[in-house]
Order: sequence, then C-alpha cells, then structure tokens
Amino acid sequence: MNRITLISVWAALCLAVVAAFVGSRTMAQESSVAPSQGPVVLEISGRIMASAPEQSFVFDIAGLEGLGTTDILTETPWTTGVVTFTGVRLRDILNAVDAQGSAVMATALNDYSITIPKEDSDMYDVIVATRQDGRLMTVRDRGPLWVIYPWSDRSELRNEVYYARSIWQLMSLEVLE
Amino acid sequence: MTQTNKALLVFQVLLAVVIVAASLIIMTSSLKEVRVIRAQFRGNLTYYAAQVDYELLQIVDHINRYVQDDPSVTPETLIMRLDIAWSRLSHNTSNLRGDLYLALPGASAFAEEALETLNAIEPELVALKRDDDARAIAITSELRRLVTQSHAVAMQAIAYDAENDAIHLDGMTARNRSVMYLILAFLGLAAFSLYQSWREVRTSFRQSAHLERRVEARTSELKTSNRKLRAEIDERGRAQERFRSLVDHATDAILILDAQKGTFVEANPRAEALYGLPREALLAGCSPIDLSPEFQPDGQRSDVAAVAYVKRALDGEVPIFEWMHRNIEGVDVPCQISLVRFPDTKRDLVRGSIIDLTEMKNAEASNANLERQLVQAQKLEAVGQMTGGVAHDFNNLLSVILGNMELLEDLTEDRDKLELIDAAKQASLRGAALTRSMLNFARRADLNPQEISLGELVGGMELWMSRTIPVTINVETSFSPDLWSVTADVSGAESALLNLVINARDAMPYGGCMTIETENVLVDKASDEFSKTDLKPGRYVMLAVRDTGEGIPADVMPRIFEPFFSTKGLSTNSGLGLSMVHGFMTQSCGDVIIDSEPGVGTTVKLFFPAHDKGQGTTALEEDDQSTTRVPKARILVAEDQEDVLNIIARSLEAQGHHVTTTKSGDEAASRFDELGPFDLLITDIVMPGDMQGPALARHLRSFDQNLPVIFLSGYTNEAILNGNGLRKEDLHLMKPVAREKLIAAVNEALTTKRSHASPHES
Repeated sequence: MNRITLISVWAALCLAVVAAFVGSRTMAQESSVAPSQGPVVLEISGRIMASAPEQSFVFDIAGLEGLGTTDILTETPWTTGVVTFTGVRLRDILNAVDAQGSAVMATALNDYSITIPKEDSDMYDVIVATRQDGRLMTVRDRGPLWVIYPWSDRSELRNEVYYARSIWQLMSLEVLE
Repeated sequence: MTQTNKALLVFQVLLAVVIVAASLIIMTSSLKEVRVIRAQFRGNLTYYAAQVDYELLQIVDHINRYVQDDPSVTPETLIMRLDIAWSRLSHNTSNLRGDLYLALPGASAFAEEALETLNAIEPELVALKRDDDARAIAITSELRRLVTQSHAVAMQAIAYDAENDAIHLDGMTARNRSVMYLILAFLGLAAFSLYQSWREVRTSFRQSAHLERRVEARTSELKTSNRKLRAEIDERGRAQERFRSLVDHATDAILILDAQKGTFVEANPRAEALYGLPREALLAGCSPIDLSPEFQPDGQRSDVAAVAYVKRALDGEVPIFEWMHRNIEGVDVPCQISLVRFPDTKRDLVRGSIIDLTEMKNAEASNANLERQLVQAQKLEAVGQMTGGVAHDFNNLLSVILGNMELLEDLTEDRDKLELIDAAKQASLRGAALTRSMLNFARRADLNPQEISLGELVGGMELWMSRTIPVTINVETSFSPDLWSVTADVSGAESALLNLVINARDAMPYGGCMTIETENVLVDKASDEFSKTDLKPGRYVMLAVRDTGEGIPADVMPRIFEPFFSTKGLSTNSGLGLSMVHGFMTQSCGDVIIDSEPGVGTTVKLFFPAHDKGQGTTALEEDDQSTTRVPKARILVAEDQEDVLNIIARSLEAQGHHVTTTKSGDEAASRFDELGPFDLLITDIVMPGDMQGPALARHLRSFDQNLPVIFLSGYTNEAILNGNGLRKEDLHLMKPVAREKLIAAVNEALTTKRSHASPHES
C-alpha cells in the first residue's frame, strides 16, 4: 500500500466527519426553526443540542403550530365545562429542538416557574395549547400559551402536582440537565 | 365460670369489631379527605391574593421606568403588565375558588373596583408619553390605592388560610389521637386476650391431670362394658349356634320353602339325608314336586296337592299330613309333614318339618305280623285244647277196646278168633298213636326227654328212610363233628324227623336233592334265630332237612302249622305232620324255622336244646320188675270211667291181686276207711266229686305214709302233677294203658313200697 492512498483515506474520513457535523447542524436548524415572522411567543434554551448547549430557539404561533397540533377535550379547575384545547405536544417540541435533558423548567410572563419532568411528556400527550375552543388565547385569557394535561382522560392527573405544572402565560422553556 | 367466659368473649369480640369499625371509619375519612384535597385545585389563597399586589406594583414599576426612559419598557410591555394584572384578578374571581376569594372581607368590593380601575387605566396607559409625569403620577396613585386595598385582602387571606390550617391541624390531631386510642384499645384487648388464653392454658394444664384420671376411669369402664358386650356377642353367637344345632340335629327334616318361587331356601342335614341330596343341590332351585312321585298314594296329583297344602299354610293354618316323597335314588319315602308359615313379611316362606315314617311303617307292619302270629298262636292253642279234649275221651274209649281185646285174647285159643282180636288190637294201637300225635300237637304228649345224639338218631333212621324215599331223590347227610348231645324224647324226635323227610319227599315228586344236616348253634340276642323264634339264648343243636322242591307259596306259609291243614290231599295225609312237629319242638323247649323260596326249595330247621352235661341221667334203668316175684296185694282203684275201671280191675285180678274199685275220690276215701289198709292206690287225676287224684293221694297218705300211688291220666298236666306234695316215686301212666305197662307199674310200685316198708314188716 502506498502512503498516498492511506493519507487520502484518512483525509476522506476526516472530511466526512466534518461534513456530517456541519450537515446535521444545518439540517437541525432548518427543520426546527421556521423563520419567525410574527411576535415571539416561546423561547427554548438549555441543553437542546449536544453540539451547541448554549443555543436557544424562539417560536411564533405559526411556527409552533407548524410542528403539528392536537386537540385535548378536558375540564379544568379554572374553566367552566368541557373545553377543547388545541396545541403542540410538548414531546414534539422537545424532539424538534433535540432536547437532551430529563426535565424542563417552564416560566410564565408573571415570573411563575415550575419544573416539568420529561416523563410527563413521554407518558401523556401533554400539549402546549395555543387555542381554547379554536380561538387564540390572549394574556387576559391566560394565553398565549398554556400547558394542558389530559385530565379528563387520566384521573391520576387530577391533583395539585399536575395542576401546578399546568402553567399558563407560558413564556419560556429551559431544558434542564 | 362458663357464663363469665362467654360474656368476656362476647365483649372482646364486640370490642374488636368496634376497633376495626372505628379504624375503618378513620381510614376512609382521612383517605377521602386526602382524595378531596388532592382532587381539588387547592391553590394558595394567600399567594393569589398577594400576586395581585405584586402585579399591581409591577405596573407601577413599569410606568415609572417608562416615564424615566427605560428603553426595555415599551408601551406593549405596559399593556401586557396590565393584562397580567387583569388576568390575576379575573382568575381570582372566576376560578373554582373564586367564591372563596370573594368571601374574604372587602375582597368583593375590591375586585369590582380593581377591574373597573384597570379598565379605566388601559386607555390612559395607551396614551401615556414618556415624559408625561403628571399623567403617570395620576395613574400610579390610582394603582397604589388598589395595592393598599389588595394588600388588606391579602392579609385577610393569610388570616383565613392560617385559621383553615389550624382547623386542618386540629382535625388531624384529633384523628391521630383517636388512632392512638384505638391502638391502645387494641393493645389492651390483645393483652387481655393473651391473659385470658394464658389462664385457660393454665386451667387446662391443671385440668388435664384430672381429665386423664377421668379418661382412665372411662377407659376401664369402656373395657368392662366391651368385655360384657363381647361376652354378650359370644353368648348370642352360642345361642345362634345352639339354634343352628337345634335345627341341624333335629330329628325332623326341616326345609324352608319360598312359596312364590316354589323352591327351597334352607335345609338341614336331616333333609339332606332324607332326599339323598346335598344342601347346595336342594337350595339350587329344587322344588318339593321334584322330590315326589307324580301321584300320592291317595291318587291325588302331587303338584296339585302340594300347592293346596302350601296355600293352607300361607293362610295361617298348620296343616299336618302324610306325604310320599321320592328320594334321589328313586325310593319312595313315606313322610309326615307339618307346614307353618314363616314370620317373614317380605317373602312368603313356609317351614316344613318332615318326619320319615319308613321305620314307623315298618314297625306297624311288624306289629301286624306279631298280631298275626298271636292270632295264629291263639288259634293253635284253641285247636290244641279241643284236640287234647277229644284225644282224652278217645283214649278212654281206646283203653276200653284194647283192654277188652286183651282179656278176650286170654279167653280163646281159636286161631281165627285170635286173628280178629289181634286186628282189633292193632287198630286200637293205631288209634292210640293218632291221639298221641294229636296230644303232641297240643303239647300234652307224655314225653320222656333224655340225652340223645341226633347224629346217631339220624344214622339209625337212614336204613328205613332209604326204603321210603324213591331213587329219583338223592339224599345227602352232613353231620358236623363234636355235635353236642340234646335232651329230647327219642320217639318224638324220630317222628318229627320222619315227618320232615316225608314232607321233603312229597315236595319233590320229580326228584331232587334232599340234605339232612346237623350243626351246633349258639343263640344269643343278636343272632338271626333269636329274632325269628321263641328260643332263649343258649346252646342248641340244629337238625335241618333241605329239599330242592317247589317251595311253599307265601299265602300258605301262615297256615303251615295248622292242624289238619294239608296241601297233599286228604287220602294220603292226616294234616297233623308239621303241627305235631311244632308242638313237639315247643314242648321240648326248642323251635322250628321254615325257610322257603318258591322254585328253589324249602329248609326246615329244628332247634333242640343242647344237653346240660352236669345233671344228665345217662342210661335207662334196667327193667327188672318183670322178673321179680311180686306177692298178692290189696289195691284200691279210683276211676270215674266205669269201662276203664273194669278193665283195670280185671287185669289186676288176673294177676292175683285183690282189687277194690271206686268211682270217685270221695268213695275211695270212705272205702279206705272201711276196708283199709291197702298196699297200693291207683287213681285217675281228674274225677268228679270234691276229691281229685292228688288230693286223694294226700288224704290217704295221712293214714298210711308209705302208700304207693299210680296216677292215670288222659294227658299230662304238669300243673296238676307238680307242686301238690306228690312224691318222686309216684308213677304216672298215660291212658290208654296197655296191660303190660299197668302190671309193670304195679310191680314197680309194690317193690318200692316193700323196700320202704321192710323194717316195718319184719
């Protein structure tokens, strides 16, 4: 074997690794971050990607709903009757930003914050609701984002632990270690 | 004690139930509360109330910063802050705990006022400029007023929550305390139960010894009663055994018949013997009809009769009847059966007791036979009496004829006349022989038993027998050696043998074989002869004559000893042959047995008693009287028959004696008184008058002790001769008396008298 072949193989290998790294990063940015046209409603920070821990993502309503919405029909302690909430699964949001941690700390506009374990998003279809009964929510309606658990479907969720995690006027998510 | 224990137990159980129930109630209530608390959005009233203050103060802060040109605060930020504060207020009043918040003192008025104020401020905020301090101060002073009110409400909320928490804590404390009490009660109960158990265990330990003693006592009692029971069982077993043996050893055959099936269900050993069938065979579906002939002796059909009897038994009667059974060998067995219904309600059972009547019937038959024999004997006796009587009178007549003939013989020398006289004498003698035969039959013959040898007797007769018996008949004799001698009348024995030989000859008109044999026979009670005859046990000599003739028909057998009965025809036979033999043998203390089989032959056996050697008078006395010279004597004769009296008188007078004749005992006695003394008395035994021959002899001997006596009689009567004080030397003559015999007897008597009287005469 000649030396040139060996060197060229090594060079190709290194190039491939660099290309893959850059490519994957570009793809991630392209796939998760739609160009933000409307006002930013959600900022995601923390351990989002192994390669760029300090990076953060921001979403407007359209970008968020672009991840795919789902409906939850449920009663809540704060509303009257069965309400249809429409929003994006927390699981999908975390996947979209390639979240690496075991929990997220959610913070509201009024500085209220609570830690939501990742298991909740794995076990239940927890959504970050954008709409209540089809309409976008205002700040006065506890909007624009509200974390909703499927209480009516899962009786084990109907307690203070999950009511406390049901944060409204959600502003940001920080993926924790 | 038991009552107390029971009460305690009930109390404990109740207590336990109460404890469990209370625990359950507490648990469920606390669980329920937990669930309620968890299920409800409890929220923190204080937090919510305080949050309103905070948001109001945030607005104030943001307005101040906005007015002081803080670039991070924009008009949108101010509006958002207002919205947040508004949402907090609206949240506090509209959510599920909103009423709780509104219930706080002043809260309701505050909320209303605050919302109105916020709504009123909103346009002011939108229009607020960065340097418009006056407007800002006006807005913030409004907001500060709200903050003061909100703070008051928040204080109320804190007080409410504190009070609520205290109530909660009190409830929890109470619950905890009651749980503790329950635990204590439970522990107490457990301790009490333990104590109770320990006491019971101790008591039971204490009682166990006593119990053991009681158990021991009971065990021994049980053993005793077991022993008793066993004894009872044994006794019952034995009783059953006894009953079983009662049935098994019953003399009756006992059978139990199932009347519905018609078969036997039980049988005892006697029944097995009766039918000749084993019990298993009898019980294997055997019916009474199978064991009976088709018809009963009375002509009834067996099956019909049997059914009728069984029905009577089932109706409650106890029929007793004679029945003919047929055993397995085909032999008919006469039986007497009694039937009785068995007390079994389930089945129709009939018990039959069966008595085998075979032996009884046989006994009846032999009884009938005995009766027949008795009748025969009585008949013979009667005929004998009659014959004896006739012979007696006949003898007297013959005596007269013979005596007169002998006297006539002395009176003539004429040969022709003498021949006639001799013929008449012979006829008289034959007549005498005939009457002698008759008297033999009547057992009244004047026998002279002496010791003789039958062998010699038969041997002596062989000579003349050969002349009497035709050559077609072969005569064989068989004499056993060392034959005992017998005691018998010689002429009687000869006559008997002759009769038998002649009968045997007549039984074989076409020839045959005649056997004459003698044999010693010991008769004891077991021997055949003892049962067939009247012989007493002892030694006998048998003389048998056997022929191979036609035999004697069974219907003739019973009459064979009857006098004048003959099968031979009147001309040839007197019919007295066997009658005479029978009479002779009976008189000689022996007997006759006749065995006859038609077509084969007849054997006649004579049994003579053997001579007893101890007292034998061996030889005949020498007859020397005829040679002795006898002096003339005075003789007294008593005889009621005048003819006989005359013959005697003439015969004696011809001898030179002086004879005094009398016709009765009484007359003789008186003549003896008048004319005595006499040298000799000749007297008939039976005479008219008070004094008979023996009485006369005794009477006269009271005067003359040595008076010799000669008795005359028509027949021998031992009752008269014996036991009447007569003497041995007294002579006895049988009528008709031949002259020589009479003279010889007179001479003998006179010689004896002389020898007795010689001292007196000299």
